[in-house]
Amino acid sequence: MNSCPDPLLWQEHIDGEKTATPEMLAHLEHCQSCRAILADLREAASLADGLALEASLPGDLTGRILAAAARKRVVSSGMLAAAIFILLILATLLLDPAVFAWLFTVVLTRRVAWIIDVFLKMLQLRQAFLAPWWWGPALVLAVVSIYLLNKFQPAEE
Amino acid sequence: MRELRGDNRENVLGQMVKEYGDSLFRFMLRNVGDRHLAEDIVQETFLRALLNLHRYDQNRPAGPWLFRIALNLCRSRQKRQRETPVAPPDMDKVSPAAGPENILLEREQERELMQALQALPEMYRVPLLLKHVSGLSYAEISETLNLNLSLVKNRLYRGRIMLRKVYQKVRRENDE
Repeated sequence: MNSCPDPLLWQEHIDGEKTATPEMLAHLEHCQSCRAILADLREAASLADGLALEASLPGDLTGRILAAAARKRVVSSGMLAAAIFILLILATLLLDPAVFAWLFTVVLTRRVAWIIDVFLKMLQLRQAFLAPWWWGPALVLAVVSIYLLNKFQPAEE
Repeated sequence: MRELRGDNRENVLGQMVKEYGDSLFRFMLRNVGDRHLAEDIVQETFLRALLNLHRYDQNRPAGPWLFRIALNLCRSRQKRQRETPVAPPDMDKVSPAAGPENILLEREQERELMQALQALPEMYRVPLLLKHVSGLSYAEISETLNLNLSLVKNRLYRGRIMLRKVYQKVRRENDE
């Protein structure tokens, strides 16, 4: 071997990936430059070997992973259940659009309208409705009214 | 590819943790420089592996696949945190028989080495760690990083030379 081998071949040799061929070793005998490269590579590799360490994982890791996997499965199941629930509601609305219409036009509108009405009437009467003692009766009145509206809801609704 | 269920999944996971857990942990410890973060990433790696076992070809070694998952996790966490990893002095490496001065010296050298390592670009740092910390072969590094063999050899070569150069610079700076 007259020309010097690629330094990467020397690297493979010191890393134990490939054994140096007899020609390479014979070349090394009389080539100072290759000996310098090899020494250089050995030194650099030995410095990098200093990065190795003895740390080991905590013993209960497998258990922790399995527990985390179980938690993920529960969350996934919950999300699946929520998705199915939403799908069912959408399906119901699609199959019977009247349900949707009833919900928004009658139930919600009526309640919101009633609350606004009471509020405006109180304003008109110039009552001190912001005084704290007003809030309790107002809330009770609102709850009772909603209950009564529900109870005496006309059959056609 | 057959479906893995129940005990079989746990067995495969147990086997993977046994075979690659420590080397993955050491690699991560050096790469992120924080024990808790390293533990967290390794746990998440195995969790993802467990949840994606159906995608893993059991006829091939799991190492490169696991290291790839870990590296991706590590990158996304570092992107989120945007913080440069700094390694604390590591207690595991110091031999118990060493005297106090030797311990100090070893820690100092290790700190300098870690400083030099962190200064390397990721493209050189990761192959170095896979080789010297986790003991992966060229072929395994190539599969992990999805690089061809000659590129792996090249990066290892340059990485080592660069590490030594930066290390010497760090030492000079600390001595001054």
